[in-house]
Amino acid sequence: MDYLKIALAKGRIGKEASKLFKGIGLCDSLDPDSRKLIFKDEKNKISFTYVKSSDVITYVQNGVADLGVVGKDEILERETDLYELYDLGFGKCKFAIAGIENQKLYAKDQVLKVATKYPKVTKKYFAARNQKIKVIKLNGSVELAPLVGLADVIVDLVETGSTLKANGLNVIEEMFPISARLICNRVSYRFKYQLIAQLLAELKEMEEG
Amino acid sequence: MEYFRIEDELKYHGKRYQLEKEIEDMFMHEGYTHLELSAFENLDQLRSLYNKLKKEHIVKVYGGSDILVLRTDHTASIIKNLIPRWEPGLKLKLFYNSDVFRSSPNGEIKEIKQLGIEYLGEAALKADKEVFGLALQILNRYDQGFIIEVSNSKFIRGLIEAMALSEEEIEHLKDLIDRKNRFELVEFSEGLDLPEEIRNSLLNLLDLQGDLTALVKQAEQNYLNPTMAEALAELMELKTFTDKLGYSQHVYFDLSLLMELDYYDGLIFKGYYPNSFKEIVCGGRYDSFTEEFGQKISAVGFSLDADELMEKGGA
Repeated sequence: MDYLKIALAKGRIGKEASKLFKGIGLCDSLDPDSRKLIFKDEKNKISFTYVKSSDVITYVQNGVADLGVVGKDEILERETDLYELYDLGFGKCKFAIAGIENQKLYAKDQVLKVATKYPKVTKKYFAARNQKIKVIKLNGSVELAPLVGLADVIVDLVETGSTLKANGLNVIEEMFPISARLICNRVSYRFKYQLIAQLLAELKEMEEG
Repeated sequence: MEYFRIEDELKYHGKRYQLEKEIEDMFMHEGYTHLELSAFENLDQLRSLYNKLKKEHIVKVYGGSDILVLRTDHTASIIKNLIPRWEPGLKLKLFYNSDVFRSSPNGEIKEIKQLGIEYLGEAALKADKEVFGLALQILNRYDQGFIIEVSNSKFIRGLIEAMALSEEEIEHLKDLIDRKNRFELVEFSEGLDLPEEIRNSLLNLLDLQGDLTALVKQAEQNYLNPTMAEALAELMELKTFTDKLGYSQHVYFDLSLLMELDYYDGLIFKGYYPNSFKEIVCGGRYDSFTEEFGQKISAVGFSLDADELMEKGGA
């Protein structure tokens, strides 16, 4: 019988996920801090792979992994054709618009400049309220953008808000909440339905118990 | 490093031609006639279809004063050509073997070879069985480990019609169902003003898969309107047929199944091979789509992804 292959995002989500899967009795050897990237549970026929969080979707989409654990932010930012089977409840944070004190989202004679790592999410959000904006895509340290005059506001994931505060920024508007999701390849879902359904039942039991 | 030699490339093409020919022979054996189609479509004429397909996936070409697009779908082309001059009583069995074009987000244009059939003007159930049977036969010929997912789109349509939602709400709802996103579906349904029985039916939808007899019973315990009941009855009839053919272990019923192109109205199906991660075959019934071109004609068909079949079919 084939293994059920699960791709986990490295980092915080991967750590939480390893706790969760160990919690339902899978793969004791799973260790997110190890340099090893592949872990096998021979008994339950499940294998886990740690990959960069932005690659989890690629692994699952191409069927190299049947399932994946990844933040909803990655799912929203990418064009995906997957099942989102379960909200794992951890990795909770929010998408928010932030800027310096008294920064407004509307100015009559200007187009708002928004810096973000998430251009797709940002465009969609502002388009839904018919506001024209200019998106500036950054790959990190987004908080800098309003301080150096690159943008008026930023759109980013906010967990506690301490990074914002440390840079003198405030949340202007909360957009929507995010959490870690269990995603699944559409074809794997059909061919490994029994295994996947069983895993889902165990996760549910754990959550309720 | 060794490059792919001309000889190898020709061998590959030869194998591929062989496969296409085999499938075309099966089509012709069943009485289907070949139809040649233009690669161009006028964007305005197919507006209703292209509204449903993501705009960024369409390859646009500018010719004179018209905006043309490269064909994204064979069925739409065929229907647009034939339905306006349809003659009553006509029955047509057609097949095609040509490319469709899709644009990917990074601007790359993909050329996808499709082989497929359309059965027009025949009594619905008879044509459904024949077309579905042929899809099973082809899938089975190239890999006996195949699985085919089946549903009837009237089930979801019936349910959605009972909910009185806006266009945007319907689109969002279908997206959640299509992703089997139970968590957000629950959340979204709580924000809608729905009668209790309809909400229960909606939340139960993602569980309606597996053994058809069991899931029909389950569906009947919840809200069911005539359109939804019709869908279930048609599926039961199809199940009797596939059981008789001996394909029952390959056929999975899943009432939450949705298609990328939203013109289907009745039987829908998608077929897969174990080592491939793309649909090998997809198809269904689309009578109401023909209505958009003037007349409602019985119409059912499927298309095969020839590249994927060649790669994964072990041919």
